[in-house]
Amino acid sequence: MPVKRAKFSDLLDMQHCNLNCLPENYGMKYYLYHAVCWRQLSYVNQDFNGKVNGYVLAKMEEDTNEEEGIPEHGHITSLSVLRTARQLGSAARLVKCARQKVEDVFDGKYLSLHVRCSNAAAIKLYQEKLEFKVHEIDLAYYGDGEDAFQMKWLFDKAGDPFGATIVQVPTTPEIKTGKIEWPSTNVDGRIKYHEHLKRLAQQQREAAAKKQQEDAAPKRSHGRRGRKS
Amino acid sequence: MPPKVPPGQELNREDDSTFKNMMKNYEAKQYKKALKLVDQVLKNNPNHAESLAMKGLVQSNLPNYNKTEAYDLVKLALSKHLKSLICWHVYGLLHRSNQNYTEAIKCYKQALKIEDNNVAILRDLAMLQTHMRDLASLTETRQKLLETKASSKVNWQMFAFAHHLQGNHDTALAILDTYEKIMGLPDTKYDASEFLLYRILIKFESGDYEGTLKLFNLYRNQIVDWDYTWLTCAECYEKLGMKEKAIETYMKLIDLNAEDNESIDALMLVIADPDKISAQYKKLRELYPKSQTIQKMEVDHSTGDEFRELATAFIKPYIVKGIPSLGSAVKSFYQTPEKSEIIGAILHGVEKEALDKETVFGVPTDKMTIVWIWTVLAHHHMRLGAPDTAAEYAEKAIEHTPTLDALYSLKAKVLKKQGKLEEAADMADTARKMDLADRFLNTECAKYMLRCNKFEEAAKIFNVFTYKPLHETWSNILDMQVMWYETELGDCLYRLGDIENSLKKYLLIDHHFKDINEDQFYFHHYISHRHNPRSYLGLLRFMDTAKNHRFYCNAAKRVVRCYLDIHKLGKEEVQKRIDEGFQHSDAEREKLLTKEQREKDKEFEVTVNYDEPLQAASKPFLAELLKYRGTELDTQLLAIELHTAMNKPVRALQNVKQALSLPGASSSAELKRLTVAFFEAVASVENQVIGDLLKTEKDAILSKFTC
Repeated sequence: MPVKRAKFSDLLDMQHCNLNCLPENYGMKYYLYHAVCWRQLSYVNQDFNGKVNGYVLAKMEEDTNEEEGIPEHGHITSLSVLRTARQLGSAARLVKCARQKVEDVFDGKYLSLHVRCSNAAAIKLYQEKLEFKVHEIDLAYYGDGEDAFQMKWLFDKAGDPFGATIVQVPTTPEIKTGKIEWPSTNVDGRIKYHEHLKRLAQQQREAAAKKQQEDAAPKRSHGRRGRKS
Repeated sequence: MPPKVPPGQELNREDDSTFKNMMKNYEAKQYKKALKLVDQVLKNNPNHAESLAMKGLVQSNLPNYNKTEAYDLVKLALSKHLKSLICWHVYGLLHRSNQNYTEAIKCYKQALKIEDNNVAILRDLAMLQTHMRDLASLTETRQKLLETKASSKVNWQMFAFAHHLQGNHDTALAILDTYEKIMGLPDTKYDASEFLLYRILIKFESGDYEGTLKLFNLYRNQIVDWDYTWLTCAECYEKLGMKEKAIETYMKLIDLNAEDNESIDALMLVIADPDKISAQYKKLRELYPKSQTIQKMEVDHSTGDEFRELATAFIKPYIVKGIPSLGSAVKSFYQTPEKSEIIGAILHGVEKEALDKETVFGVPTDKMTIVWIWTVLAHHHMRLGAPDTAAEYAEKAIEHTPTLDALYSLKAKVLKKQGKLEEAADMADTARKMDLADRFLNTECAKYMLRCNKFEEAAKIFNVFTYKPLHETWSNILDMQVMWYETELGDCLYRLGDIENSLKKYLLIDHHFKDINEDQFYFHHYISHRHNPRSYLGLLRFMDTAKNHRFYCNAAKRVVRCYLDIHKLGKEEVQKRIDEGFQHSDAEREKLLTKEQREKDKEFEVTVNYDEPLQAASKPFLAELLKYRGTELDTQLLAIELHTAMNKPVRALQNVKQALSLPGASSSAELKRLTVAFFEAVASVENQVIGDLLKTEKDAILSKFTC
C-alpha cells in the first residue's frame, strides 16, 4: 500500500483517520504544528484508491537535556491504521519510515512512544516486530485512567545508557490465561505489577549477562554438547 | 522621536512604576493582576489615556469580557491622547483579537506615523500583512524591520521570504546570499540544511533549473532531506529535457521509498511509451519485490492476458494469507468490463478450487480461507451492481463463522446497497457489540444510524469514545472538528425536513475551516523563534487552498442546496424545529449546560442568512465550488440553478455550456431539466442584447442532449 510523507493537504485526512481509530484526538492546530516543525517525520498510508487509511504523527521531543541523560530524540505522538486495512504490515512500515527520518534528518538518539498496558497486539508489534523495549510505566497516562508503557528504540545499540527498567514484557499468553493480570483500577496492584516487571527485567538481564559470559569462556569438550558450567 | 507627552498624561514616579509593573504582568499573561494594577493607576489618574487603553486590552483577555466596553475604553483613551503609540498599538491588538484585520492594520499604520521604527509594532504589522496576503506592504514592513535592526537573523530571512512570496526570486536569493556572508549558516545540521534547501527552492521556482542542479551539487554534503532533493532534481532534468537523467533520478527517489506511488507515477510519465513502462515495472519488481505498491501499479497498467496473469499473482497472497482488505484492493480492476470479467473469473475459480479441492492456487486452505473468498465475492457482486447476490455470499460467510465482526460489517454494507438502511444499522450495531473497545466499529455504526435517521442512537453510540457525559457529546464533536458527523447529521436532518438545522450543521464545517485558517496566525509569530522557511511556505500555500478538501466541498454543495430551498419555500415554512434529541429536551439541556458549555455554543454559533439566501450561497460557497470542483457536473448543476434564481442569465448560460462540455453530461436528465427551466425563466428577459443571445444559443444547446 502506498506510504508517503504527509503533506499539509493530508492533515485533514489524518485527523479523520485518527477520529475513526482512537479516542485520543487533536484539533487541526496540533497537526499543523507537527507539519511546520518536523515535516519529514509524519507519514500517511493510503489504500489503493487514494484514501488515507493510516498515519504516523511524529515529532522531535522538545524538552531535552543532554546532561540529564535526555538527548535529542523522536517521539510518536499518534499512530493508527484503520481496522479494515490491517494485516498488511502498514503500522510497522509507518513506524520504520518515521524512525529512519528521526535518525537521518534530525540525528535523534532514540525514538519513543506510549502504548496502553492492556493493548497486547500493539505491544507485540512494537516489541517483537519493531524491537522497541519498555523503559517505564506511566501510571494513569490515558484519559480513561489506563496506564501506559513508555517504549524506546535506540539507534545506537551498543550499550544501553538509559538502563532499561524492563526488557521484555510478557504479552498475550500470560495476560490471556489470567496468570498475570493488569489491574487497572487498583493503584497498589499496579505498583506491585510494576515491581514484578522490574524483577522480571532483572532476571532477564542476569540471564543475558550469564549467557554472554558463557559464550566468551573457552569451550570444554564434553561430548556432543558442552555441559553448562 | 516620540512626540512630547500632552498635559495631564504624565504620571508621577509611583504611578509610573505601577504602570510599568502592570505592563510586565500583561506580557506575562497575568491578566487579573494587570487589571488590578491598571485600576490603581486610574484611581489617581482617571484621564491617563494609556492606562485606559491598557484596561480595555487587559479586559479583552479575560473571559466574558464586554467587547463594546473594551472598545469604548480604547477610543476614549485615543480621544485624550491621540499621538500615543501605546494607544494605537492597543487599538490594533484589540481589532486583531476580534479578527478585524483591516482595521488593525490601519491602527498599526497610525502608530507607525508616531514612531516609524518601533520594532514591536512593525512585527505585529508584518504578521497581519502576511495573514491578509498583502505581499507588497509586507515586503516594505520587512525592509523597515531589517533597516531598524540589521543584527537580527530573522529580519534578514523574513525579508528574503517576503520578496520570494511576491515572486521576486532573484532579489530573495541576493538577500539570502548577503545574509549568509554576514551571518553564516545556522548552527544545527537540520537548520542549515533547511536554509540551503530553501535557497534551492527559490532557484527552482525562478525557473533556473540548471542553477538549481548546480546548487544541489554544491550543497550535497550539508543536505539532510534527500526525498525532496531527488524529487526536485528529477523535475529539473525533466524540464531541461534530460530524459535519461530524470529517469535515473526518479529511480534514486524510489529507492528511498518503494511504496510511494507518486514517485512511480512521475517516473512512468517521463518514460511515456507503454511498452517501456511495462519493462520498467518489471525492473522495479525485481529491485523491490516486497513493494505492494509497485506490484499493484503494474497490474493496473497491464491489459488482456498480461492483466490476467498479474492480477492472479496480486490476488494470490491475499487469498492464501486471508487478508480482509482484498475487496477494496481490487477496486481499480473494475474500470473496464473486460477487466471486471477477468477478475470475476479468477475469483469464482478460486472459490471453486477451495470448495472442491480445499486448496487455493495449490496451497492448502485453512478454516478461514473460504470466508475471506466469500467476502471478496460479496464485494465483487456489489461492484457489479448485484447486491442481492452479494447478500448471499455474506450470509454464507456468517453461517460459516458467526463470531467474526468483519462479516457483520460486510453484511451491513450489503444491506445498505440493497437500500435496507434500518437493517443495515442493526447489523452495524451487531458488529460494534462484538468489540466495544474498537472505535472504528463504533463510528461505522454511528454513521449507519445517522443514515437511517436515528440521530439519538447515533449520539449515544458516538458518545462512548468521548469519555464525557452524554449531554456533552455535541461539544466534543465541535471541539474535535468531527466534520464527517456534522455532515451526516446535517443530511439526516435534511431528510427529516428540518432545513434550518440541517444548514446550520453544514455551516459548522465552514466555521471549522475558518478556525483552521486562523490557526496559521500562531505560526506567523512562532516562525521567528523557529525558522523553517520551507515548512512555513508550505503552511501558507496550504491555507490558500485548504477548501479544496472534500469535507469543505461536500458541505458547500449542501449549503447551496439548502439556501436554494430557503429561497423557494420562504423563512416561515423552513423554520420547523426538531429536537436534536441528545436524550434531553431543550429545557432540560439548558439546566445541564454549564457556563463553559454555553460559551462553547456561542463560540460555534452559525447564522442562517434569511434575508439574502442566494447571495449567501453564491459567496463564498458556490464561488469556492466553481474554483475547486468546477469540472464536476454536480457543481455546474447547482451553479445553473443558483444563477437562474439570481437572475443572472449570462452566468447561467456560461454554466450550461461548461456543464455540456463535461463527460456524460449530454445524457444527464437533471441537466436537461435545469437547462430547459433556465431558458423558460429568461424567455422574457428585458435586455434586448441578452435576449437575442439566448435565442440564438437555445436551439444549439438543446440539440446537444441525447436524453
